[in-house]
Amino acid sequence: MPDTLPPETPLLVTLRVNEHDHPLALDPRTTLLDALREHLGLTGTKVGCNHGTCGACTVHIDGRRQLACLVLAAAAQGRDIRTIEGLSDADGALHPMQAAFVAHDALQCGYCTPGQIMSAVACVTEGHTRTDAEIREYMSGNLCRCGAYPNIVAAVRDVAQQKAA
Amino acid sequence: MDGSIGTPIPRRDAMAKATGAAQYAADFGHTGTAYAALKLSSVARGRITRVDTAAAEAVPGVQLVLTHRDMNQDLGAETFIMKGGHMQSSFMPLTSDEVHYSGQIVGLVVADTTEAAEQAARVLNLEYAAQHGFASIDDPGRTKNTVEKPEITVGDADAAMAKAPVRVDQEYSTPAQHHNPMELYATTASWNDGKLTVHSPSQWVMGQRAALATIFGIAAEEVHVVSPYIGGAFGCKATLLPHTVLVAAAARRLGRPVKLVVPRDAMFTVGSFRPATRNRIAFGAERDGTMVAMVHEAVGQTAEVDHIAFPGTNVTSRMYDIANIKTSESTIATDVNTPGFQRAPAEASSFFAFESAVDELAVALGMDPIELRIKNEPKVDPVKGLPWSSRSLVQCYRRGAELFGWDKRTPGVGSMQTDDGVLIGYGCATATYPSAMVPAAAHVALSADGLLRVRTSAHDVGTGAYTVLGQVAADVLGIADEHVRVELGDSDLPSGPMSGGSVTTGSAGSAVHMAAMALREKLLLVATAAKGPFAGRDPATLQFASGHVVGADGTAHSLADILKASPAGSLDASAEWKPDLMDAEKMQASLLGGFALEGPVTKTHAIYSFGAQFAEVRVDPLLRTIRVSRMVGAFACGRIINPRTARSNLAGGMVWGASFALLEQSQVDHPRARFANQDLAGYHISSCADIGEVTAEIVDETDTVVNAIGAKAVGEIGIVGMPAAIANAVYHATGIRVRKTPILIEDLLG
Ligand code: FES
Ligand code: FES
Repeated sequence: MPDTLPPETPLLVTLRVNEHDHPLALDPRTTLLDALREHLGLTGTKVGCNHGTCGACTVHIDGRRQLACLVLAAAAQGRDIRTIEGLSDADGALHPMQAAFVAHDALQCGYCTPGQIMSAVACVTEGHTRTDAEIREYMSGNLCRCGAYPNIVAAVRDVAQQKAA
Repeated sequence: MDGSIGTPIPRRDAMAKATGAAQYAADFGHTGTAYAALKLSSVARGRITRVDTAAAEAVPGVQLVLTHRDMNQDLGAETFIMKGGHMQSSFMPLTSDEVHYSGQIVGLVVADTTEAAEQAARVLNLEYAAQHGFASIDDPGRTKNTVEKPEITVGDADAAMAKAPVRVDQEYSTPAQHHNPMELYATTASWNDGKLTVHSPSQWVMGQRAALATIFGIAAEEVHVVSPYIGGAFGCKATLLPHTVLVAAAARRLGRPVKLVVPRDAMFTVGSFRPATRNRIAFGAERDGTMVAMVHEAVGQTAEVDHIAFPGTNVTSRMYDIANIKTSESTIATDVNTPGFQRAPAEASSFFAFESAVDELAVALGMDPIELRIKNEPKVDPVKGLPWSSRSLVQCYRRGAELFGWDKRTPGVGSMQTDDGVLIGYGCATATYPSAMVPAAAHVALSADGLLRVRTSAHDVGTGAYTVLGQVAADVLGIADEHVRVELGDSDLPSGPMSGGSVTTGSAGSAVHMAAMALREKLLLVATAAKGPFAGRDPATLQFASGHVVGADGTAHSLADILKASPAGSLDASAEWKPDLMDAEKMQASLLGGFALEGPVTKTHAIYSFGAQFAEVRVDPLLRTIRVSRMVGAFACGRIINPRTARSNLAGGMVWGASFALLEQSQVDHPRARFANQDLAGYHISSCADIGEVTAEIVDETDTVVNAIGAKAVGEIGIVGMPAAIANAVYHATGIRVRKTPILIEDLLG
């Protein structure tokens, strides 16, 4: 009966996000998503469902795409976490995927966009970009209710081709 | 970069969105914020008989537990949007012990952390005296209520139908659907010196300001609604939702900011949704394809607590040149939250029915479905006999057919297949959307640093308003895009319209245009005054281009130079715009957060956007899976301010149409009278892999009637014809006419 447990003592966690260490005292139930958004003020990572169905919260953990709403902050200690805020260069230049999303108008309301971009970067790294059909399949964990899909596919294809060239 | 009207400049807010810098409602931080969680009713109908808050209050960190026992005294009365107010529903949760639908808010808990608030909401114990509820219009014993006014009668439809040699007459149904924008509803409310600030995603900051002022008994100026970015809305963020009121009430009691992020499952019941419909459509025609009679009977779902109807017969009756038309509308009340606007509220559902029926008529006549539509193209509005402000549907069909390759279609059912036997179907359908106009105000300012600021409390819900509204002003003043800044989505700005009904570009754009023209006049006055660089010249001979004012002889002076000649070194102008035929009193009420609409049928014209939509489907011969491999839409929406954002918006609407046709339904758990699939795992919307090629084409059109900038509706038309185009393509591939959505594998088992 988890609802009747005694008060939890805060958990001391250090999260390494975008190459900076952040010591935090958290309720042990805190997800990585809430730690980023509510405790570190990194609100670029979005919340769309809180249970792994929409992809809005996609971040990279040790270079792989993961849903931050399904990871407890405590379990992310010692891992290398990257969010949309850490994607551009130190000098602020856009990551090629961010530039491609702008160039192809691969966003409308923009709410799914950080998750799409994090996913898209990983999709290219994984090599799941051989055909449009493959891009569509491997980008389907990130829902876009505005329906920007055709332009998202164009952006991912563009970056994959730049990389191959 | 040249940012004038018609230039496909990149979205002004794209960088902010691609870097995560754009701040949506839940992204604003406030020191000392407390977190709220909702308790929702587990029964559909009845009364709350017992409230036990002890366990909830015992959770460490809990600050406040609100139920109906605590709330009454806090709230002033606001009314339902359809009764002239701003609320999503007439029923305000926590104001009585009544339960009217499953998932109704019955408690709000506030704690120091989200985790504690959620835990406390779970252990907040309520008991109910429950009655049996009904959540579906198909449940037994539901009665129809006729909607009185909207009946349309032209000629004698019954007599003409009886004599017509070719007839089709069918009923079509669509289920309840939910908007499911990717951004959850979220509200942060804070009070400072009796003033309320609310961060909440909103399509109508002025309306929400007015409503919150009434509810909390303060002046409108003491309410600040902030919503610069909205993570998708599609109608569900237009009205004031009850949770925002409750969060503001809790913040006032606690004297600290309170933040609520509404969970995805609660999104299905704390806001609105697209109601289920049944539409009977009958056509009578001569053998040559001349349509002689049309009957449309629309039935829509509503809630027990509210009457609201989105029947669409006023639109279907204007599509074709038919001398005998009869329509009627009715609703069926169910124990659900009040339905509301969802992208093309009336048109999407009714056009699935109507344009499927046109296709059935084409099959009955043995005619090409495009030629049937073109043969019955009306020269004037068939209902009132008024001229169209513009109507380029035939051009849309011609252009769309060309892009799609309609000439490669062989008409026989199942006659087109791939080499491995996959059935290919081609279908088409007409789309339309009314172009109504709403009053709006705007302010433009040119400062010594050369920046043009454009300000109005309209909203960019992903449509491109930030980009487009800036272009309207830049076009008048000849200013490059990089020198333009646009502020939207804030109730402290000049009053913009509710961003619903595809009105923003036409309405807010007209206000911006008017303000920019006024600023242009001021610049000309300064330029030609005694101390101005064009002293003594006739203002009519001066042009604005590339940040300069240019004389007939080619002499050019930068706007910065002209500003130097003005007393303040800067110039600005404001404008309040209203549709031509609207009276001033109505305009003022609307600018204060009321809602006044002119059109789409005015005293002089019928004003609609039109489009022709095409779908190619591929049906597996054995598994009967349906894929939409290609969609093409050709649209004529008057003047397009930015083809790039317009195309994205239209294409997004088409993706919605595919989702409507093949995926979306809020399933009803009949015994418990509730929506059963309240998450994105159960409620399917199109994913990337569901969508093939999408082409949204813009057909050139000039409309000199609709408004000063000639812009008609863009935001919703993209969805309207797509469901029928897909259903018609499925028929072409399989010979099976599916008269309901979503069209599923089991519908094609034959
Ligand atoms: S918020 Fe994590 S998948 Fe939706
Ligand atoms: S851009 Fe709006 S949800 Fe993807």
